Formats: sequence, structure tokens, C-alpha cells
Amino acid sequence: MARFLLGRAATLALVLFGASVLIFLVVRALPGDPAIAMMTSNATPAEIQAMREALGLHLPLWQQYLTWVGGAVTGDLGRSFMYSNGVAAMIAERFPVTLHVSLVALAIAMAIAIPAGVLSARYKGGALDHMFRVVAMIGISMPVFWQGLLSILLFAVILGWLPPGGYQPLSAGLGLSTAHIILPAVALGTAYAATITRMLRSSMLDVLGREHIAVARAHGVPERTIIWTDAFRNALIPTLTAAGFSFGYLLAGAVLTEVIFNLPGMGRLLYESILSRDYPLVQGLVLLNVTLFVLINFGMDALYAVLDPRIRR
Amino acid sequence: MPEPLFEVRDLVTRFRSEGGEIRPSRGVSFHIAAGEVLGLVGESGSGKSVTARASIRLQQPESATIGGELFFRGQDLRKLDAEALRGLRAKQIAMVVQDPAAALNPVMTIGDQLTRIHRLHGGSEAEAREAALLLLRRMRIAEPESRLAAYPHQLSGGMRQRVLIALALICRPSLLIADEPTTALDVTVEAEILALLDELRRELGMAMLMISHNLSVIGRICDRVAVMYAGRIMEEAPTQALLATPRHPYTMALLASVPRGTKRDGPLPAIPGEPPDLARLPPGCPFQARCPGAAPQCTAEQPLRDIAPGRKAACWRAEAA
Ligand SMILES: Nc1ncnc2c1ncn2[C@@H]1O[C@H](COP(=O)(O)OP(=O)(O)O)[C@@H](O)[C@H]1O
Ligand code: SF4
Ligand SMILES: [Mg+2]
Repeated sequence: MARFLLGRAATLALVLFGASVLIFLVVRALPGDPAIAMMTSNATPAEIQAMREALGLHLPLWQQYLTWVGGAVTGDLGRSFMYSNGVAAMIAERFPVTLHVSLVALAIAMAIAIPAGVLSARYKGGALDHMFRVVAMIGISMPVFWQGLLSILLFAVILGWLPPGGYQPLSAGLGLSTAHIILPAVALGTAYAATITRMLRSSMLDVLGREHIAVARAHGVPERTIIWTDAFRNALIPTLTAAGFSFGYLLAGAVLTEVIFNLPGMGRLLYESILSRDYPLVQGLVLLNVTLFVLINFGMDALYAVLDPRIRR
Repeated sequence: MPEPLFEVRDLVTRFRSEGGEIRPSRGVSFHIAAGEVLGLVGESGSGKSVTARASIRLQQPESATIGGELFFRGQDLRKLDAEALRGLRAKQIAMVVQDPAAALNPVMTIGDQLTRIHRLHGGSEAEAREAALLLLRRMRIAEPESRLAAYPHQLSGGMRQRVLIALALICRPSLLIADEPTTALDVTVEAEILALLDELRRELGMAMLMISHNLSVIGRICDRVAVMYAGRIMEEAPTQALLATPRHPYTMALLASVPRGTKRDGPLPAIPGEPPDLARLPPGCPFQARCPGAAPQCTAEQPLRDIAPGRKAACWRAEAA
């Protein structure tokens, strides 16, 4: 176990190192100078140069990199250029919002995808299968922000049942918090539900064609059990990969959804930080996303081992 | 003749694909008496598996079966509803298939797979476990208790095939469909499994449809043999008679291709020519293109007819002989 964890930690360290170099260079390859971005348009070249020095941008690249990474390993992600707050503190403020929306969205996505994927495989080519396909097509071709706008129009403006946007943490009360989060979570969740449904449907069809299903049928196992025990548990294994990636994308934040629902989440922060060439903030956010992706991957591996005895040691 | 345990009449199956329509069973008829072993032999692709599965309504999709009657103890299986059919499964009719690695659920223990079949047809968990242990011992599986907790991937191929047979026999069925049960195994294990299957079959008084592409396997345990080619039964005879005096040219070719002395499994050493494309069969006898005795008459339909007591063949030459 200790060895296993150590191996995982080494993988994480390696990925983070590679990612940190890449992010660092890519951010600086973007056209535009953060010093100029921070100043009024009539700033003199001398003023701009002074700003560059204040931000440490006059130093050689390797020195800038080492300063940043040196801080990052101690948990100090530097200061934002624009907001002059600590990057770590800004992330700590925004992340819970995105985590909350993502978890609810993922739960909604799975709650839709599991029955839809299983039933459309079971009744392949039937009315239910076609219905799910059409709904999924509409869901995929209707962008999340558009679905978000429509849902605000209906539930907030016309019916007045839900607030049109904003965020309330769970500490403000479950009801109030949920009322704020439900529309964006549904908008995001349904978008991912379509992908996960398709994945589950195709792996269900794959498993249902396998010999052990025929053998179970040959010995009188009821069709319900065949579907939910014999097939579903085997089909879930590849489907979890799709769910894991979805969760990773969700945690990166969704700019448009956050804008429409006025959510102070990670997507907007990243978007704004890129626009303003806020190097430390972009770097910190991307590094966090990479870390989360790697951790989700580890979590998936652990889940596979629980579900699939062939992977267990 | 007493009423057979199982009788298939004029079974027709059909699949449609881009390449055209194929019929892996084109009016197949056979019968099996209680306790009897019928062999079904033929080259790979001749329609044995589809025919066998369709005969017990396991071929998916079920709409592939477009004709025929399937009498089990006088009852047409095609007229039974799903519940009634399920009641016959395992208790009356069971199946063993070719690939034991794919035939067991990889995420369920051997014990769970065995006991649930027993429990589906009545009895307590303890009784089911007892029956499973008894059967595994009977299958000469060492340390049966610990095997119950094992997953399929932890067993060898031969062991998995034994488990698969145990799965089929746990409710003591009266008919077993065995679709190439030893094809995936090596020769020594094959011989062991065949002997064991034969022994258990006698003990249970079970009838069997034994499918193989290998005549030497068929010769060892079958009472009667039906030879299949391109969706048709070409010849049917008691095993000894068929092996000693084959009457249909296809059976002769099949016999000639069995290597003498060895019992090596594997694809049959080639009968000259290719098996026909099921989507483009010639009119009349499907064996024409490869038959050394082909003549103009062969383009006429060759129905399976009696050629001697207990013997049938689908060739005008066999009839004339
Ligand atoms: N589900 C299916 N859909 C379409 N064609 C099939 C299907 N199953 C079998 N076939 C075709 O039916 C023919 C007979 O197959 P099969 O019964 O498996 O032959 P055998 O068991 O004698 O080797 C083959 O041409 C095979 O490709
Ligand atoms: S009918 Fe003709 S082609 Fe067919 S087996 Fe007999 S002789 Fe050969
Ligand atoms: Mg076969």
C-alpha cells in the first residue's frame, strides 16, 4: 500500500512538473504584455518598464520560473497582477462554488445517464431508444448557455420559482443554497448526461452480446437481473471513465454558465485572468486543474479495482 | 418409437446484413430421445451454433428464428411465454458453450454464479452451496470450498470449463446442449472433460446435443450423428454406421479429412475448396462446388430422406447406393 501510494505521488509530481513548464511557457507565448494590460492607454514607455520590473517580468525566464515553482511547492502561488491578492487565497474563495455546482451537476448527469443508457440498450432500436436519442441530440445541439438562459426565463422570470442567479453556500441553508445552484447544475448536468448515456449504452450493448449473458439466460436468470446485475456492473467500468473526465471538465469551471448565472466560479476567474494576462493567476488555476485531473484519475483507478476483480491484487 | 424428449422440425433462421440475407438454418429437423446423445458435426460456419441456440430459443435476436417447431416433452417451446420458458431453463434444459473464459461473468465469484442458478429454481442458500460443493467435487475440482470464493480469471481454462459444466448441471437438467465444449482446451484436458461429461450424463440419465467440428470428438460419445453443411442436415445415422459406411459425399469428405491416429483438435484439415458463401448458395445441393461426384441432377433440391433403417441422407447418390 505504501509503495502504491508512493508510486502515485511520484506520478503526480512528474505530471505537475511537466505541466508547470508547459503552462509557464504557454502563458508567456500569448500575445500581449501584462504590464500594458494593467495601465491606462496613455502610460509612457518608462512607466510601462517600471511596471514590468515591479511584476518581475524583466528577469530571465528561467529565473521567473524558479521563483514561481519555488513558491508553488510551499503552497505560495504568488500574487495576482490584477487583484494583488494571493492566488491561493483567490482560488480558495472560488473553488468551493465550482466544486458544489460540479458535484450536483455530476449527480444529475448520472441520475439521467444510468437509466437512459441502460434502458436504451435494453430496448435497442425501440421507441424508448429513439426517444432518448432524440432528446440527447437536442441536448447536445443546444448549447449549455442557451439552455441556461431558457431555464432562467422560465423558472426565474416567468414562474418566479427560483432566483435568476448568484450563489449561496450550503451554510446559508440547504433550501436557499439549492435554489441558487439547481438551474446551473441542471444545465451542466444534462449536457454531460448525453455523453455518459451514449457511453453507457454502447458498453451495455457490448456486454449484452457476450457469452456469459447467453449462459445466464440459458439457465433461467430473469431478464431484469441480467440487465442490472450481469450487464450493468460490467458496463459501468468503461462508463466511469467518461464520468471521471466529465467531472474533471466540470471542476475546471464553465465560463458561460457562470456568467449567465452570475456564479463566482473558477471558469470566470480563469477567463478573466487569461484576458488580462495575469500570469500567476492563470498558472495557479491551470496547475490546480491538472492536479484535480490526476487525482480524479487515481480515484477512478481505485474504483475500477473495487468493481473489477481482475484488477485487484 | 416413443415420443422423443426433444424434437426440432423445419427450423429456419435468418440474419440480414449488408452482404445480403443469410440463413444459417434452412429447415433443420432432428430429434433426441431421453438419455440419448446426438452429435451435430460440420465445418465451422455451417450453422451449428445458431441452430442449437435457436432450437432452445436462445438465439438473439429472437426474430432471427423465422420458422419451425421446437417440441420439448411434447410442448412447442416457441409457443411458451417468457416465464414458462424460464421455468424450463437449467431444470430441464441447460447449455455449455465453447469459450469458458467468456462464458462466466468476470465480476461474480464462481460460488455466486453457481448458487444463484440453484436458488432461482427453489431452495435455500445453504442447499445451493451444498449442491455447488458436491458438484465441484464430482467434477474433480480440488479445494472446492476455496474455488467458490474465486473469480473466473483466477482459474485455468480447463477449470473454468468444469465450472461451466457444473453451472449447467446444478439443477440436473434432462437435456444438455453442449456447443463445442472442449474446442478451446488442449488435448489432454479435452479428453478428461469429455470423459467426465459422459460419466455425469449417464449418472443423470441426461440427453445431450453434442456439437463439434471434430468427428473424433463426436465418435467418442455420441449415439447418433447429424452432419450439417450450409444450414442443412446432409446425413444422419447411428455413429458406428456413419463412421464405417458414410453415404453422403460430404460425410465422406469430412471423414477423409480426419487425421488418422491422432486426436488433435483444431480446424479440420481442409476438404478441398471453400465452404460456400451463405448469402450466395447455388440452387439444389449446397455441396456442389466441392463435391467430386457433382452432376447435373445436383441442381435439384436434395431433401433429407430415408436411405436405410435409421439412416437419412440428402443426396441422390446416397439414395441410389
Ligand atoms: N448474430 C448473428 N448475426 C448475423 N450472422 C450470424 C450471427 N450469428 C452467426 N451468424 C452467421 O451464421 C453463420 C453460421 O454461424 P454458426 O452457427 O456460428 O456456425 P458454426 O457454429 O457451425 O461454426 C455464419 O456465417 C455466421 O457468420
Ligand atoms: S447432390 Fe450432388 S453435389 Fe450434392 S452431395 Fe450429392 S452428388 Fe454431391
Ligand atoms: Mg459454433
